[in-house]
Amino acid sequence: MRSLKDIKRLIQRAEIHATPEVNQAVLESLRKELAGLDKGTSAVWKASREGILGNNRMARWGLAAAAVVLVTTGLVFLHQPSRQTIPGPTRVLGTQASVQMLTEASLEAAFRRGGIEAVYDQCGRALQMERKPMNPSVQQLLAESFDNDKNAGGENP
Amino acid sequence: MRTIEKGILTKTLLLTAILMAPSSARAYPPDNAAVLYYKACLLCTVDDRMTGILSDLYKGSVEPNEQVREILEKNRPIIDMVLDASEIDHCDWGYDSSQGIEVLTPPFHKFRQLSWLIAADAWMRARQGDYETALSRCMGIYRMGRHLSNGPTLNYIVGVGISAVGHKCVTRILWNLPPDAETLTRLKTELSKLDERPFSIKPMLRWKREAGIVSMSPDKIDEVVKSGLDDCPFKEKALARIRAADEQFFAGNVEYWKRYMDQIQAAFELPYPEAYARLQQLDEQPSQDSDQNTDATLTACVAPAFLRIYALDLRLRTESNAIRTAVSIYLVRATAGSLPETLAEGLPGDLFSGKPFQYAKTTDGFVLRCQTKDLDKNQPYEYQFKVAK
Repeated sequence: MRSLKDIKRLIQRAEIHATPEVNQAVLESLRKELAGLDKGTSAVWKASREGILGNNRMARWGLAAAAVVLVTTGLVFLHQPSRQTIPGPTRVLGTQASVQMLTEASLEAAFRRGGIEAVYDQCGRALQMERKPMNPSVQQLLAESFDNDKNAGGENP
Repeated sequence: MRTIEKGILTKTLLLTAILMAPSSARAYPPDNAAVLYYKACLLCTVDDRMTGILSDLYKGSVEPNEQVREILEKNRPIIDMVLDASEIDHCDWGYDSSQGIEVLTPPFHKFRQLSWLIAADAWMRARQGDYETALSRCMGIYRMGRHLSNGPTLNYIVGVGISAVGHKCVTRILWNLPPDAETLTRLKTELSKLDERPFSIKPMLRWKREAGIVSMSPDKIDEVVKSGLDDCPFKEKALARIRAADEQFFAGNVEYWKRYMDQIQAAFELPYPEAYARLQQLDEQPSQDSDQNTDATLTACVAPAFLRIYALDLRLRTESNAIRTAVSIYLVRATAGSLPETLAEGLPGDLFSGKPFQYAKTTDGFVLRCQTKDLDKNQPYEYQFKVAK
């Protein structure tokens, strides 16, 4: 686990390219979190939160800025050279691709390209893509979570 | 009265339960070999390192050693499971024929690992002098190859590959087998028994014909072309034609495909040189025709490399004949004390020429040569057999 000082130093050194799309995505995540809180929080907390955020623009912007820092921290972690190599495609993409690689049509194409060795190779790669690490690293969890957020955002505009 | 009826009812139920119990205990092995093959693929613990060791052993670059023994011990239940599966007559891989050429296949590389495991076990047994078990392992590999060959194109091709592992396994055991007429006679019988479930390309050709028809439908062909063709100008052209296609386009393409597959099936029946020339022409025909004739478009997309498949098939069956002929020669040596001077009449021959193999003694055994060359490789095959001192 990195110390707070290390995280701060990493953020200071990191090049942050915030675009309107990124800002929008951050706000969307924040709204979703707030909506989630609405379902499981007490009336007292709701009232006080609305009291703080509802009437205080500075507090809203502060919260948004905090979210930007959080996401940036995630991105910095992602772009750090990893000790444990992350398998190429993400799980969702990987699953789709691996299934396609195991169809008769796709394996016939492999056979045309490189004979029976190419067929065995393609089958092996397809299963390799399916294999998920037992102990995912922080980077992998962040990558997956980031992808899931993107997918959820696409489905629920 | 009611008590008596209750007693009879209880006894009947108990008897039924007793009669049912043994039947559930007899559920192994199942009546479908594929169940056990899939289970073996799932449980097989051969990682990349082990695959490398088994591959080296198969190629003959290492001898059976402690590492191989460990791999075999670790996978002993898997080996037994595959051998049990190979004994089952019925094998249904559970393909959904409504998916056409987009049907999902089993993880074929696992079958090669399984065949290497069994071959390694056979060589280990042969080294310990247990030739009978060693050769029965080879028969298991052959039977697995036959089970695999009964299905789509890739099943057939992998079945050929697995049977080739069986050939190599038998050949290497024969090299070290002492002149034991009893073991050789048993091997000859076992090889003949395999013909009860012949290794044939015909089911695959029939499957391909039907799958092609299923795939040439508006809801399926797009995916088939996308996954079955590498990126090239022809693929773009085919996809553009499919996007603009109407009912007439699909009907015309299905008719072209049917005629094409009839010609392919007929070509496989021809003698080698004619079959080679005809399949070479048929492999190129659809893409040439598709320039002017849109009915040829989809056949050009879904036709596999039939000439290549034919070459594999013929090579496998010729090697199979060479092994059967060799067993007869080894048997002569075991009974007469020396290798024969000439080949006996009626032995299985070279399928490239349609003639018997050319037989010659060598310094450490004998060789069987094909009388016609493989037109793909431009050379005739020859099969070396060593004789144990």
